Amino acid sequence: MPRLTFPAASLPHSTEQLRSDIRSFLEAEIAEGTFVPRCDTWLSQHDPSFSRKLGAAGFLGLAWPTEYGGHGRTPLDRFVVVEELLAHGAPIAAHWVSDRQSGPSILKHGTEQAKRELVPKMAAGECYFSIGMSEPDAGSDLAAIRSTATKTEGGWLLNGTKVWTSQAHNNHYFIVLVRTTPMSDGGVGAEGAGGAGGAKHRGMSQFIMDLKAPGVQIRPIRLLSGHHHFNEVVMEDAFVPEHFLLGSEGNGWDQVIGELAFERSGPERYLSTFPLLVALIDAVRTEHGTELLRGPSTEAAAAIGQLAARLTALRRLCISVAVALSNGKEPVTEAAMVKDMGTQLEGEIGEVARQLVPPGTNPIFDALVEDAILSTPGFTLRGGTNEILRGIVARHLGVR
Amino acid sequence: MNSPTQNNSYARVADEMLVDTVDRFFAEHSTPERIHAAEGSMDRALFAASVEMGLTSIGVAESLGGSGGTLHDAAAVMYATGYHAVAAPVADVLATALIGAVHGMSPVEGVTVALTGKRVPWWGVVDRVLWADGSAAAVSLDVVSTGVNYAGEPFGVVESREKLAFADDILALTRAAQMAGALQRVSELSVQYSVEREQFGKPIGKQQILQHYLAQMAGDAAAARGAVDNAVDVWSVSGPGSWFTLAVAAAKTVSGRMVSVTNRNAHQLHGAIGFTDEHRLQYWTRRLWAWRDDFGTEVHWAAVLGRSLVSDGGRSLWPFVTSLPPALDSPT
Repeated sequence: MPRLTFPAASLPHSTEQLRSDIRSFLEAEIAEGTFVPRCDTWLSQHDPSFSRKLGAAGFLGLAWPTEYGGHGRTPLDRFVVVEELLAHGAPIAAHWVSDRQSGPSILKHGTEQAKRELVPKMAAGECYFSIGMSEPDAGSDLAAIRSTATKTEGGWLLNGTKVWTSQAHNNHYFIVLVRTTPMSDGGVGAEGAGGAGGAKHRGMSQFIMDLKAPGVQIRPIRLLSGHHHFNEVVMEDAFVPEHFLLGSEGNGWDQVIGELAFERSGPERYLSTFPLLVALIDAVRTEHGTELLRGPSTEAAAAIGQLAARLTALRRLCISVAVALSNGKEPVTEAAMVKDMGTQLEGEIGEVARQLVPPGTNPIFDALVEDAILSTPGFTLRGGTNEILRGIVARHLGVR
Repeated sequence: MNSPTQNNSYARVADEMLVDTVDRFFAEHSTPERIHAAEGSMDRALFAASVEMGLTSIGVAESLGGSGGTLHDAAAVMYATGYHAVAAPVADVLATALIGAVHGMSPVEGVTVALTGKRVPWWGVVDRVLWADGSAAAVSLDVVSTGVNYAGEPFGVVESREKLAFADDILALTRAAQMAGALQRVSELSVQYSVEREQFGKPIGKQQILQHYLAQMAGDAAAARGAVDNAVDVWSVSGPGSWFTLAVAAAKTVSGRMVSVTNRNAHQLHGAIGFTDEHRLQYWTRRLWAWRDDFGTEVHWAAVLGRSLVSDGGRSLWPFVTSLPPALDSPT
C-alpha cells in the first residue's frame, strides 16, 4: 500500500554554529530596535535595508555556488537560517521569494547571462522577486492560465493578467508562467499542481519579467486587514529579452511543479504565527506573575503545551522533507502534507491566544493577535489550498 | 509497517532487518482470530514467542542480561505491537526492562511491570512488579479492583506506591509509540476499505470528503510517529532527564490528540460494518481509545509541557522547539 514516507532525519551538529551566528545577529538587531517581532513577516514585512543587511552578513543565497555570489553551503544550512528568521519574526518579505525559489530556479534553469546578471544581486539582498502563477480564472486550477508569450525580435512579448502577486509593487522581477503554445483541446487538467501532465499542461513556459518594464501595470489589491501586499499585474506587449526565458520553451509546467515542492515544504508553513505563541507564554506568565508559585491553570498550560508539542512533530517532518529535497528527491506528497498540517496549526495559535488572554491586557500582545487572526485565511490558501493538498495526498494513497 | 531507511548518515534509526523480522513475526501470529481469543487476558503463546525472540529486552545491554540493540530498535518493537494490535504485554514488559536498565537492573523473567499510578495495565496476567527499591517481587499487592479496558486488556487498581524515576516517562513514550503504530494501521485499513467498498457505482474513496479524511489520517499518523522518534532521539542522545520528559510529553500529547479524529473518521467511512464485533477495525480503534488514557492523557502531558514553558518564559519556547529533533553528530 502506498504510504507517506518521512525517513528519519535530523540536522547535523555542523549547522549549530550557523544557528548561533544568526541568532546572535537577530538578537542584536532586536536589541537595537531594527525590528519588532511580528507575525507573517515573510509575506508582509518588506524591508530592503534589513534584507541588504542579511545579504551583507552572508545569510542569503547560502546554498548557492560561490561563483554566483552564494556561499556554497547546504540546503540544511539555509533551513537553519530561515527557521531562525521566522521564529524571531524578522522582516524578510523583500528577499523571501528570491531566496526560497527564484534563485534556485534561475540557477537550475536560467541562462548563463541571467545567472550572472541576477543571482549575485539576489544573494546580496538587493534584488527581489515575486511569483507570477495565479490568474483571475486560474487559481487552484493553475493549468487554466491564459497569459501568453509570442516571439518577437530579440525576445518575447507577454500579454495577460496575473493576480495575488505579493509584493509586486515593491519587487524587481517576477517569474511568470505563460502559454507559448495556445491550448489546443481545452481538456480538463488533473486537479492540483502535481497531476499527471496532459494536453493542458503542455506549451507553457516561464519567463523572468522586469516588473518596471514598459507594458507592465501593477494595481494594488488590498487585503481585508487593509494591508497591501497583493497585486494585480497586467502585461500588455511587455517585452522580455531572449535570455530571460527560464528553462526550455514548453517545459514551464514541469519547472513549476519542481518549484512547488520547495514552496510548500518550508518552516514558514508552521512558523508564521510563532512570535505570537512566544508572546502568549509571556502574557500567561505575567498574568500569574503575582502568584507564580501556583502557575497557570491546567487549561492554559495544556493549550500552550499541545501547540508546542505539535510544532516539534511538524518540525521533524519538515526536516525530513528538507533532507529529501537536498538529496535530490521530490517529496511532493509529503511537502503537501506538512503544509496542510502546519498551516492549520498557525491558525490555531491565534485562536488559542485570544481565548487565554483577554483583549486589553497588553497592547503589543493584542497587535500580534490581530496580525494572526486577520492573516489566518491566507495560511491555508497560499501555495495551494489545503483542500488541493489533501487531494494530492489522496492520489498518492491510491484512492483517486 | 514503515521501515525507516537511513537517508542521511547522521540520523539514528532502527535496524532494518530487526524491523522487518518483527513485522513479519507479528503479522503471522497477531491474527484477528488470536486477538479476539485473547480478550480479557492475553495471548500467552505470542508473549512466550516474543520473549524467546528477545523482544522484551531489546535496547537493554547484553552485559545487563538484555538482548542488546538500540533504543530505536526498542521503539520499533513498541510501534510494531501497536501496528499489529498485539494482544500481549510485549511493549509493557519491554518498557519495564528499559526502566530497570536506567537504574542498573537486569530484566526480570515473566510478565513484570513497573508501577506508575493506581491503575496497572495487564494486572490480571502480571507475574511480578518492579519495585522502587529495585526488587522484583511476585505480585502481592492489595488490589482495590480489577477490570478490562476498552480494548479488552485486563487492568487492576492498586494503592499508590513509590515509583521508579522515569517510569512514567518511559511508559508514556511506550504507549505513544504503540499509538503511532495503531494510527498508521487505522489509516491503512481505511484506505483499503475506501478502495474496495463501492456505493453509487464507484469506490467510496472517490468521494472527496473521504479523500480528505484519508489524507488527514495519513498525516496525523506520520506526525505521531515523528513526535515519538523525537523523544527516542533525545533518550538516545542524552538519556532520561528533564529534556527527555518534555519530549515524551510532546509525543504522548500528539499521539493522544490524533486519536479522536482518526477514530471518528475511520469509523465514519467504514460505516456500520466497522462498528461491529466481526470487523477487525475495532482491534485498533479500541486500543487507541484505551491507550490514550494510559500513563497520562494528552491533556495531562500537554499541561506538563505548557507549565514548563510558562515557568521558563516565552524565550524558552524556541530553544525547546529546535531541540526536537535534536541535531545529531556526524558518524565517527
